[in-house]
Amino acid sequence: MNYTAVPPRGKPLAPLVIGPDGLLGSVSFFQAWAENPALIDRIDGHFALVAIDDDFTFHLLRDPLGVNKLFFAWSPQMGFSWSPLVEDLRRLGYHQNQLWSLPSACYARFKPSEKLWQLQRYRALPYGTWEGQATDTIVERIRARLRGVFSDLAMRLGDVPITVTLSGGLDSATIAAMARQYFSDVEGVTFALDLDRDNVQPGEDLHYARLAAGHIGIPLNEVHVTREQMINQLYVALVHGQDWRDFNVHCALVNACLGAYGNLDGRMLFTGDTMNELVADYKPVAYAGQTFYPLPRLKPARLRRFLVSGLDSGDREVGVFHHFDLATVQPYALCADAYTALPDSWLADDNIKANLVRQVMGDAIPRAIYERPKVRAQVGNDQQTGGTLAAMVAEGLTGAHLKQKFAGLLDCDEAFLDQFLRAGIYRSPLHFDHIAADP
Amino acid sequence: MHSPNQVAEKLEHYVRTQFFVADDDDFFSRDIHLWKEGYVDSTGAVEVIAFLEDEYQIRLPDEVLFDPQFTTINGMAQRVSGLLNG
Repeated sequence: MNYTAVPPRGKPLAPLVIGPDGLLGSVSFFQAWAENPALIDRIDGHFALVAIDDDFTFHLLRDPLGVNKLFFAWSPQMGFSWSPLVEDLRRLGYHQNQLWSLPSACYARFKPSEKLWQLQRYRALPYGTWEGQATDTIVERIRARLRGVFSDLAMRLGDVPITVTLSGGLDSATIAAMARQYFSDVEGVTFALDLDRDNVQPGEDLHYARLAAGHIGIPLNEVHVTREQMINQLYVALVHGQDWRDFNVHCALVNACLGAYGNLDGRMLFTGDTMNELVADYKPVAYAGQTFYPLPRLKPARLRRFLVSGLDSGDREVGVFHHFDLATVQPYALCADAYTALPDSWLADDNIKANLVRQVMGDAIPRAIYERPKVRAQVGNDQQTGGTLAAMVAEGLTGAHLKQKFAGLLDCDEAFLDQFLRAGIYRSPLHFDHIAADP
Repeated sequence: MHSPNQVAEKLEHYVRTQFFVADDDDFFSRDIHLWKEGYVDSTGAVEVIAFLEDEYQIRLPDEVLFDPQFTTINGMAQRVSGLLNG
């Protein structure tokens, strides 16, 4: 069987495929997979691949965590199109009801002439499978996985200039310390809001980001923006962040500011994202008498799977940085299998992450960061001024307003959005009739 | 064996108590679209799935969220009962 790549509409997003050599794109992958069915178990990365074979069957594949997005649409009149950016499909003229996503960790065969839609999940993450294992064993496994991932990245990417988005927290500090070991040109970039306004002191995040960069021994690029500059990036945060929910929009805004004002051209970005999902380390945030970023009322061990599944939606990093022609790698996503294997019982402990990282990384990370009270990066709370949350609340850019704006930008009905993204998952068709339904 | 009616009964009780459906809410029924009518929001959808998985020791695929049947108590009960009874 011969395969031909189906290029995405809009700006292509280069895949990062970790696996046997030579798997650089859809054609080489599908060709090699057809010859070796076990190949699918050996690949990882950030990718959305589409190819068509000699039999006019489309083959769609998306990475295990859904880091890269794969939206598609089909109609008898317009045929098949796909893009990592849903806005591209709307611009082509597809109706909102013709927009679909391929779920994370899935492979699909689509043959319109035979009304065929076959979906297959090729990877299931192990959850809590290291329960009962000795702590030392687990620590060593995590250390080995991290080293393996960075070694793979160094081999695949070469010695490219790396910029780590440093929030001042443990996750990004770990990535910076690891990157420092495997790449020669590493710097940090961090975001600070509103420091030009009266009575606003540098926030804790900036203090800890400086501390981390200094300790690890990398220069720190501080991107100071005003509230107005940040709000100017709202279009990018919504359309390229592909979500309207405040926790993702606020994070996407920070990244949009880094992309717009950070002078990051020619550098590859490494981030500490996805770690909080992998160990269910999120809490709702109280600010101005309200609770933001609500979570399902589940225990952390139960919540973890849903947070990880929820990575399917939102494009707060890869999508936003791609808009600025910046390539992004999320190293934690590449060793997700190790972090999800952590025992469920560990997740009940609020200090699990700090304790684990301390044993894995030791004094590569400053002690003050291990001891720092947990906060949502760059957000702020009732005790902190200058965070994105405070600015967004002050501008009225929360909840319903963001949803309304997102719907307007994509020219969609607000009611449709509830069908398009539910419980953290973009909608996918169950069978061909869904795809072919008259909009 | 878990009949659809048995599953629906448990699920209705769960939804009523967890999402504060008033006893005298005449609009609410086992055939009401839970998401569209606002009885259960996106966060709550996760809780409903977790409840069904824990109660019946099953694993519902993520895609079930977009099954047109999986929007009402009766529809979910049919789907879960189908899974349980093979």
